[in-house]
Amino acid sequence: MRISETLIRHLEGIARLETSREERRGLRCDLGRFLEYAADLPDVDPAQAIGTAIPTHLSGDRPDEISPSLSQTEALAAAPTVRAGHFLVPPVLPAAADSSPPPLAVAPPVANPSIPVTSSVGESALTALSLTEALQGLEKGEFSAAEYRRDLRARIQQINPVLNAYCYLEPSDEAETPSRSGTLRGLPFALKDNLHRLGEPLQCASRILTGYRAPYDATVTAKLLAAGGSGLGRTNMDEFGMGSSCEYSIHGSTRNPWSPAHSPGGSSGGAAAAVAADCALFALGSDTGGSLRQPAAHCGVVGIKPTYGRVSRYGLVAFASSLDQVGPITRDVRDAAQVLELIMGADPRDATCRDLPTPGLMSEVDNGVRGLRIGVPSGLGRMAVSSSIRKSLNDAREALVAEGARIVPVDLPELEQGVAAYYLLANAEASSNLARFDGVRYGARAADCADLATLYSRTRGEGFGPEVKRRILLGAFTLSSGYYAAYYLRAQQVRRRLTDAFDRLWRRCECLLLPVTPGPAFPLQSRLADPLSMYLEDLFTVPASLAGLPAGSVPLGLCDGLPLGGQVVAPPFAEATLIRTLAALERAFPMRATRGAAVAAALADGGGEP
Amino acid sequence: MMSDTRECIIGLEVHAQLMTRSKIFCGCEVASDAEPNTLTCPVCLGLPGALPVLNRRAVELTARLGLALGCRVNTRSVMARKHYAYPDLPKGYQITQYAQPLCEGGGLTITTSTGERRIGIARIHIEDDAGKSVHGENGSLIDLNRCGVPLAEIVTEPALRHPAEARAWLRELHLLLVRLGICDGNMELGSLRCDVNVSLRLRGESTLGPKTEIKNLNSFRNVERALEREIARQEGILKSGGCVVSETLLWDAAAGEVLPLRSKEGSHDYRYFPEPDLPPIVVEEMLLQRLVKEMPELPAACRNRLRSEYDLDKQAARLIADDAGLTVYFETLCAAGVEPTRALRWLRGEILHRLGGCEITTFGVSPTALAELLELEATERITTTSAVRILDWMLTEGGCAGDGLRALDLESIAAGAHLDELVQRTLADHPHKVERYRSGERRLFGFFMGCVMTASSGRANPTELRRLLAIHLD
Ligand SMILES: [Zn+2]
Repeated sequence: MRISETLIRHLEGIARLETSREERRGLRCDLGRFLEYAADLPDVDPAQAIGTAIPTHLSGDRPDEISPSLSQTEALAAAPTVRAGHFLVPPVLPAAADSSPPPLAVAPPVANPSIPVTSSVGESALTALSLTEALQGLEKGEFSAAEYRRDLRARIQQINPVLNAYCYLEPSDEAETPSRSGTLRGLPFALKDNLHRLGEPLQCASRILTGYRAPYDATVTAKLLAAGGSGLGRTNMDEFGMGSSCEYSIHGSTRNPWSPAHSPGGSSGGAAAAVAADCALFALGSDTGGSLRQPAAHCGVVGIKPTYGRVSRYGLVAFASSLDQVGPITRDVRDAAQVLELIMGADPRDATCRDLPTPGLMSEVDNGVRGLRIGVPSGLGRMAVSSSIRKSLNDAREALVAEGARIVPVDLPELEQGVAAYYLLANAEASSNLARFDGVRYGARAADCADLATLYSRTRGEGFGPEVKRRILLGAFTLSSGYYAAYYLRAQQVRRRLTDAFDRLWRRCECLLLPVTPGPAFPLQSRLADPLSMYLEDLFTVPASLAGLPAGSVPLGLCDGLPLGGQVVAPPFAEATLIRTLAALERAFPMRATRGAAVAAALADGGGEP
Repeated sequence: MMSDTRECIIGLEVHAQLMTRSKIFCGCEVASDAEPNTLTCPVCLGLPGALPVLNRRAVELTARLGLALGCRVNTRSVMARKHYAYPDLPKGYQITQYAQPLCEGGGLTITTSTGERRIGIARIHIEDDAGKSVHGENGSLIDLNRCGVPLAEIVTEPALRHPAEARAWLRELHLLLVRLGICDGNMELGSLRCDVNVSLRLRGESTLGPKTEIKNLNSFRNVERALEREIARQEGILKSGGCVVSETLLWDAAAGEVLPLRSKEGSHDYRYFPEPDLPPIVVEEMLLQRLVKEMPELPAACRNRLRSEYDLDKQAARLIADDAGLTVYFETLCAAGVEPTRALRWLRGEILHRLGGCEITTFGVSPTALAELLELEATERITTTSAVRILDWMLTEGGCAGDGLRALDLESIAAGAHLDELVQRTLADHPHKVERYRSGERRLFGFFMGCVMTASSGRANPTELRRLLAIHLD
């Protein structure tokens, strides 16, 4: 489909986004290519299209009770300009007609946090521990949480200059004695740069949130703190979660610890790289279309996206509200089960979070898969999947059979339409969710704007990176009058059909084995010129996202020295089955020793240049 | 003002602020008099990561309104995002309802000079309010206290045909909203706001012409005036062969003019889509049953009942029925044995006069206490004049009617020597007038009545007095 100059200008108008002439030319081309790709979606019966994610999910209102508001000072604290207790913005209409707009003021680049580089990459016994092992060590008094923290910070300071996995490290307070109580006994956790932690900077790897400090805790943050966890720092990501390579970041690219010339995947790339390189005990990230599972696969660690509605999204900066879920990245399945147990459960602040009993997951790790019916696609059809991935999936199937599982061949043609539907829906929601970043109440604001419209379009034009702009415009297009039925509704229809197909599938098996990605980690920079090729990276992860299903990624082996992942998808709220199956695969394909050695070797090389 | 060849088509969109304690999607208090930006939180400030959670009271109040208006209350309805850019809209979208509103259908009947007409309702939905902007030369000041205050939007069918009808309809809706405790109805403070849209067409045509919308009218009178002006303006354009442009207008009450709204940047492409942060709203049958059970008598039904039960005329029924307090007061009087006509006469006269616009609930004499007083009047133990004096005594002293009667010594002089003596003395004082009366000037009877009344300090029993006067004069 050809995107005319008039159309792109209309979209820029409704999205309040200023682009340069050159940018606009690229955007027209990229949008046109994607819409051509999406043109294959089946025709829609509008009566059948569904609006929200999980149509059967009904609950979550609140009683009419007053809770305390912020003070005026708190409300105005982050605003670029205020006057007399009000937010102040330029006049709605320009004072006088000016012939030409002033040139774009370029905001100063945001410096990466200066973390001193230390010479050699040391081995630390403590940082290599899993969460379970660290907790046992603490219990036995072999070391203290403060000692663990000190070792971890030292390792981060050594390795982060190469990896760029952390974009912010909380100031160290040596005198601080972390709480010894709670499940986590004072152990530190890492947060993706889109999860709120009170008082700490939060930027979603975007220029537009320069200077923003979280005025509250995300529910998941509060839960980890309440469980005795301690804050550590924020991990890098693709801007607002939009990307599969951790390259679209104001903080610069994160590198893959197995091979610094490669991408760690994205958008939770920083979290996966940090956990893989023993720079974090565990990390929380978010997954919208694969953002936990894909980087976990590329970095040889475990990543789990819980069922939509299992974990509160309150305090997670929204990318696509009907798809976003918070989940853990850990070094093994038991740790993932442990972290999930800590963060799952209802939240009165998130109406989409379900009030359901939360299962014990740790106990599922050793349960085995004997008798479990596991679906495996009877052929990945005409999908572009690398031979190494096909082979690893076969190995996985055999390993599951060896443990006593029954393999059920399944056919899921609906998977193929997932990417088009996902990008239409996710970006429609993203264009809406990102409307609030306008430079009025918080974040960066373009300088010297004479009127409100200019303030909006320049703040957003300067503040958002290229991929975010591309997605906002695509989303505005999908929702705009004249295109809504042809794109948004058709994509919803595909989502409905996919969800129905999974529902039917669960009558025949208890979970599904899929690849995570079409291939192993790709070299940095290799996909940037072709956004569509980046989107296709999500082929196997978006189906579970669209259907709101729990899904996890676990290492299955290596290809040319890079890890490959396998994905397990389970029915809604069947995280227990998910953990059982992932643990079985982990037993069959132990990765720990390999990862430790490979990462040490790669980092000893000094990182190598991409 | 309208020519006979054209008719006007008027529709109303009324925004009623729902009487909840907290906002629609967060726990911030709803209050109109707070310092700017002191009633906000991450949710209503539109901070990143904050999520809305629906206040179920807002749903209940709107469902109650829907039931009162005979609407279909949908068991499942959906919130939607409506996008536009304005600094007092922090999220960049309003959370409202679009494809599946809470209530549909229904109507409200008005009485005009031409009789009764039922005006249909297209839909009622719930949504959040925006903040307030104060525009100045050097910028706009934004106060977000009002952000997230719950609103019900009531949209009529384009079925109104005259500005006076529009006014009458809005008045009737206002009455209902206040009676049901849904909205405080304060139009000056913006608790109730009305947008009107109007178009003209040739009589007999069935298609609608281009319409204009006039925003934010803040009184009944302004609704009528603005419509009159706008209809005249459109008619002028059409008569001179021009075309009416669909646009949004603002009413300038001071100048009595409609003005084009300063156009906002960008075209209106609201990009509605279902709100993914909120599950569909489910109204259980149980809730509807409870709401029906709790439903008070509606003004229209009350008027009809008062007319049939107490034989009131239309005007009197409206006077009593349209004020819930007055209805209770009136019916308590009647239940205590006061004749409806006497109760009405006293309410409409002495009582309303003494209230001076205040609510009857603030009146210092309870209906049962007043009933005792009116019983004394009805049985002619006191005269009407005395009753009024005792009422004032009760208001200041707080005692009952009997106490007032004794304190003021107003027992009416019914018979016996005392009244007879007064009559005789009066006639003796006016021999010429007695002469004239006896020669046929019968209207002087009233004069003698008045004289004796004055002489008795208003205590003379009129019936007895009339009888005695007749005896002595004839
Ligand atoms: Zn609030």
